[in-house]
Parts: sequence; structure tokens; C-alpha cells
Amino acid sequence: MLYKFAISMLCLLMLTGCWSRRELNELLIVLGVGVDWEDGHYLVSFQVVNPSEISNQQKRGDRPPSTLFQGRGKTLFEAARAVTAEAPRKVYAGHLQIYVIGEEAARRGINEIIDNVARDNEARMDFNIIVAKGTKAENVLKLYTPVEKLPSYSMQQSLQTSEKNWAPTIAVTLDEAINKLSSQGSEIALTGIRVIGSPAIGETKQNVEKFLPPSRFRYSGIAAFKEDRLIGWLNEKESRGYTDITNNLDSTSIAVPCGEQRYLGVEVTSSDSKIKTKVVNGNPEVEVSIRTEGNIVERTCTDVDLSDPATIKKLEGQTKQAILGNVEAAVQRAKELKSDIFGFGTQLEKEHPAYWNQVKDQWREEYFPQLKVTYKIKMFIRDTGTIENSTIR
Amino acid sequence: MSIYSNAKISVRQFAILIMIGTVGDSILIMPTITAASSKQDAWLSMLLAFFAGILTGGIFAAIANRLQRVSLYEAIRQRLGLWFGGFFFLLFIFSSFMCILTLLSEMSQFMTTQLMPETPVNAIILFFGAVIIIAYRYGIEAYARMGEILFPVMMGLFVLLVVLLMPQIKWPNMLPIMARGFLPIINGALPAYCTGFVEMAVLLMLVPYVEGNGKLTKHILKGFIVGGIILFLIVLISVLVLGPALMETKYYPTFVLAQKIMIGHFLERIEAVMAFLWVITVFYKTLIHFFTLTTGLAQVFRLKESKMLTIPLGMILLVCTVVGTPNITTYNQILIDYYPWFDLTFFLVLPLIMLFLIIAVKQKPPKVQGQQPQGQQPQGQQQPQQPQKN
Repeated sequence: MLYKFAISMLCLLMLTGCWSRRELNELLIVLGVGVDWEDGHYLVSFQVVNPSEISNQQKRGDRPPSTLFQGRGKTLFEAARAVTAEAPRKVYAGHLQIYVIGEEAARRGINEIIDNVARDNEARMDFNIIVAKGTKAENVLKLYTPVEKLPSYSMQQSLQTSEKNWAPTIAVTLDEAINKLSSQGSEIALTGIRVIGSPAIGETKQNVEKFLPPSRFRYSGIAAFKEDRLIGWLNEKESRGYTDITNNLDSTSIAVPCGEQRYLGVEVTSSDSKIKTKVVNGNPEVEVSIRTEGNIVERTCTDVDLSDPATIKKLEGQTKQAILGNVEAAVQRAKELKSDIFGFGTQLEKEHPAYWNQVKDQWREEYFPQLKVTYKIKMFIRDTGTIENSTIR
Repeated sequence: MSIYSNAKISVRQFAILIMIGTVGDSILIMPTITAASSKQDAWLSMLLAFFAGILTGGIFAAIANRLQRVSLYEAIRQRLGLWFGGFFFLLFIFSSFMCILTLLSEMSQFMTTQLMPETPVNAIILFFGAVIIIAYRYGIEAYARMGEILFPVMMGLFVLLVVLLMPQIKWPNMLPIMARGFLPIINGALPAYCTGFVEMAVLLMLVPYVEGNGKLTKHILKGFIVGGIILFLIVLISVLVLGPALMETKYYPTFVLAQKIMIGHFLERIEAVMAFLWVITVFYKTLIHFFTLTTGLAQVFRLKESKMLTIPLGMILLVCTVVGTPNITTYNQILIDYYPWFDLTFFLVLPLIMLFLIIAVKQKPPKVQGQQPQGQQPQGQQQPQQPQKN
């Protein structure tokens, strides 16, 4: 009897429910985080979902699909908790899609920012990290975006799509960032994002009511870091070279000049790169081999005879030159910035560990800027689309 | 002692218990403790630990075979006598006690850092401990059978983890191989060897319950080899998927591995399911150690039954876990710097002494056998002097 009583009493303990339960309606689901450094404080902006606005059942439409909450603090955590002074619920970072670092914060150093997210138990590792170019992270996050209702989701999708189909962007996730920041032989590089047009309209709903939204985000350029501080930007050409060398390039477009203001379009369908290192007379040397395949997608000049294999050969040579121009520009720029974003040092460490141990402390300042880099580029044009020479005159 | 030995487990269940125990908490912490010293060569450390572990398995098997289904305490008492043998055996039990503390800390810290940050550790240890006590009270037959049932679940989860991570393997993560010499690899192998294999010395306590009279070498080695391969694969895949920096940085790389699983956009976020894998293994390892502690105490103090010890011991363990490891930094320092030596002393040197005793005294069987049936206190007290004279 006593036994049964005790058991039923114990059951009562279970009825109180879960200990640290957090129901869906108690969460602020964060999709995007922006970090800015402002007058000696961190300004953290959380872009959270407005659940009623994105549900399919009730079409309300009088509120934005997501809301921005901001908090200030000496540490990131303090800033994140300060958000509760404005927000009705506590933030939940498990669905984080994109992490925007303001340019000023990036120039100050991102180690503490990465440390904070890596330490957090809610945030996963699959979100992308980007840098707000020439602006504050908060400005990037308060933008009505067309097609996708949730701006952060739109940004992440756009980044991943452009990484696959357009060369000068890279989608860096947290684990890659940690690996790059831990290594002495490679520097981190992050894609930059800009807000173009008039930001004042971007904040309002009118932005998505136009055919061409007056204010849009646009990925532009790659930020090169030295240790954990942003020190310079790569332009589009250099960024293409960067993604090509680091084997992040899948598919892109290359314009080959063929006449007065005329270009022939080549679609790159696959690109593989390999970095090999050598030590010659005590000096490191790097050989970058790139193997690219592509198709002709536009024949702008009528004098290019696509029925002749020799023309293809010639075009392959010209495309090769265009690729070579990109990669050389990228390496040149990185050397100027003394930032080994390609990970040549890491590759040297993998292939010549003993030599690397001697040079690693002078790698950034001495060896990398004077590194001899040779290129071996192979280009194959395989197809010409659905037609050969068109009959259009 | 007959009261404890009427329960029987099959050799297959015995092998499964050893295997799950070998995987134990190692599956959670192995990548970190190997990578802390040997970086991208962590898998080499693990391989080294694996081979050392097989050798150790051989030593344990040698003892197990010579015990001939007599309990470990009985065997020691016959050789060393009541007082000295009892003390010697208490040392062995004590190390099991310490081992349970690390296991409980491990589990509660994992839960609070990764899954339930707001739940107090006490609550987690309380419930985890309660399940262990309940399992113990059901007896060895019940949980050995339970192990047999959970074995395919565990293997299924493990295979799923490895297979789903295959697409993310990056071979260059392994390079350079052995760039910093052999010493870091040995340094990394030592804690891996200790937590993974040496701590399984408690399998000797299970021996009297194994049915039949056959040799156990094959089954012990089977358990060690399968468990070792699982640990090796976990470390290898951590190196290949996460890379040494993340392995070293994160407390629980295995959990990060589970987080990394992403097939298409539908098979992802399954880490909480994967966590079940190490909940099973840590549970069994803790249970076997708890079994050693409780049954061992009952044997030494000649208690008629050991169940009454479970709840008081559980309370002591709960308090000691919280007091002994006040924070994760202390715990990690103990685990990496001191605990391997503790393990070696208590779980390797002690069994080696036991092996020596069993072999050395075996040459004079009539004396031991003559006294065994009587085994009463007055004669037991005379015993200490007899082996010492030899």
C-alpha cells in the first residue's frame, strides 16, 4: 500500500513537465545576426521571424515578415541579453542562416565574435558568415526582399546560388572559419555584401511593391583578412581568381573579347584546381594547376567559325588567358595585403612539414609576399550549345 | 558466494557488454583527447591505443581464464588471505568508484553544455543514476539481455553516423602525417588507451556469471576489437570531416559530427537522435563499474545481498560527482593530465599483480583447495601468513 502510494506520489513529480522546455510560442527564432562595433560597444541586431506573417493560413500583411531587435553591450552576450529589454521573448539561435559582421567590427578583429558563436550551444555550424561592405551590419538586415519573404533566408540562398553559378562569392560556414582562423598558413576570406539603391526605401514595404526594388542587397567582392582583422577588399576580377585557386568555383561565365566591343560568352561548367608546393634552394614555390571545362554559349562575332576545330583551340587559348589574368590579379593583390587567403602556407605545411616549421613565423611578412607562384591552366571547350554556326547574318 | 553466482549470462552477452563498455564515454571524448596532443595524427594515436588495447585484452583474458568462474575477490582472497586480499580488492573497487565519477561528470556535462543548458547537473545525475540503480537491481541477466537488444540499435546509429558523413570527408585533413615526430602520437595515445581499454578491467567482475567453462579469450578480444574499431572510426572520421582545429576546440566533436550530417535538405538536425548512441554506451560502462563497486563491496563484507547498497552508494556518487568536478576545466585537466596514470595504476598494474598471484600460487593448489570449502573466518585469518611465507 505504502509502495503504491509512493509510486503515485513520484508520478506527480513527472507531471510538472519538462525542466528547461521552451515552446515554439516562447521563442524568437533568429534567422540573421548582425554585429557592429560602435563607440566602444557591440551593437547586435537580431533579425527574427514574425511567425504570423509567414504562415500560409492567415494572410495579414500589415507587418513585416521579420523584425529587427537590437541590443548594446560590452560583450556580445551582454548585447544579446539586452535584447530582451525590447523583445517579448528570448532569442533562439538554432535556425540561424546568416551572420553579418559590420565592416568596422571586422577591421577590429573577428576572433571574439567567432569565439562567441562557437561557444554557444544553440547555434549550429551551418550558417554563412559575411561582411557588410562599407556599411553597418544592421543596415543589411533591415531590408524588404522580393521573392523570398525572409531577408536572411533570401541572402543565404542568394549566396549559395551565386557561389555555385557565379564565381566571385564564397559561402563560408562557421567550422571553415574556425579552421582558417586556427591555422597559421592560411587567412580567412569572407564575401562582402552591399546595400545598393536607397536604403531609406529598403526599410519600407514600398520596396517590394515595385518591379525593380529601389533598394537591394548585392554580394560584392571578397574581404581579405590578416590574422583576424579585415585589411582589404578584392575586386570582382580578383575575387574570381580567388575562388578559382581555392577550388570553390563550380560554374561561371567568362567573356572572351572577339572584336570591337564584342565578347564571346563561355560558360564554365566545371573547374578543378590543385595547389602543389615545392622547396627550391630553400625557397618555397607554389604551382597552381587549374583544369576547366566549358561551353560556348554566345557567338557575338560572325567571323568566329565554330565549325572549325582550330577556332575552338584558339578560343580555349583566349579563355585560358582570361582565367590566368584573374588568378594572377588575385595573387598579386593578396601579396600586397600580405594575406595568404589561398592557404598556400597550409599546403606547404601538408607537403613539407619540416620546412614549414622553419618558415612559419616569417611566412606572413617575408615568405608569402615574395612567393614564386606558377600557373598551369588547362581549358577545354566541349560544346557549342544547340547550334554550331547560326545562319543569322 | 553462491548467492551471487546463480545468475548466468551467455558468452555472446558477455562480449556485447565488453564491446559497449569499451566504446563507453570514449566515443564522446576520444577525438578531443587524442587531437589535443597529436592534432591531425589523432587517428594514429587511436590506432596505437587500439593495438595496446588488444594486448591488454589478452592480459585480462589470461586472468579471466585462470579464474575458472570463481569470483575475482575469491581468487585474490585465496592467495592473499582475508585482510591483505580484502584491502587489495578494495583498491580495485575504489578505482571503479572513481571511474563512475568521471563517467557521471562526462554525461552530465555533455547534457548541460549541449542539450539542456538550464537543467542543473544534479537533476541529470540523479535521473541517470536512478536508471543505473534500477538496472542493477534487476540483476545482471536482465541488463545483459537488454544489452543484446540495444546492440543492433547502437550499431545502426553508428553506421548511420559514419555513412551519412561520407560525402563530407576531406582527405587533405590528414596531412601532414607524423610531421611532429612520434612523441605527440604517444602522448595522445596514452589517455585514449586508458579511457578506452584499460578501464574495462572491470570485465573480470563479470566472469563468474558467464555460463559454461570454456576459455573466454575469444570473447573478450572480440569485444575489445569491435569496440576499438568503432572508436578508431570515430576518431578517423572526426579528422577527415572536422579537421584537427575543430576536434581540439570543441568539447564534444562527436556531437558536432552528428550536427554536420546534412543530406539534401531533408536529412539534417538529427544530432539529438544520434546522442542516444552515446547515452547507451556511457550507461553501460557506468553500469558495469557500478556493478563492480556494489557487488565487490558486498563480497568483501560478506553481505547476503547487495541491493541494499545501491541507493546509499548512488547518493554518495551524486554528491562526489558534483564536488569532485566543480567545473569542466577541472574535469578536463584531471582527465587528460592525471587520470591516465590513475587508470594505469589501478586497472593495469593491479590486474597484472593479480595475474602474477594467480599464476604463482597456482603451483600449490592443494593448500588453497583444502581451505576453500570451509572458508570461515577463523581459518581465513590464518591465511594471510601462508602465502607470504611462500
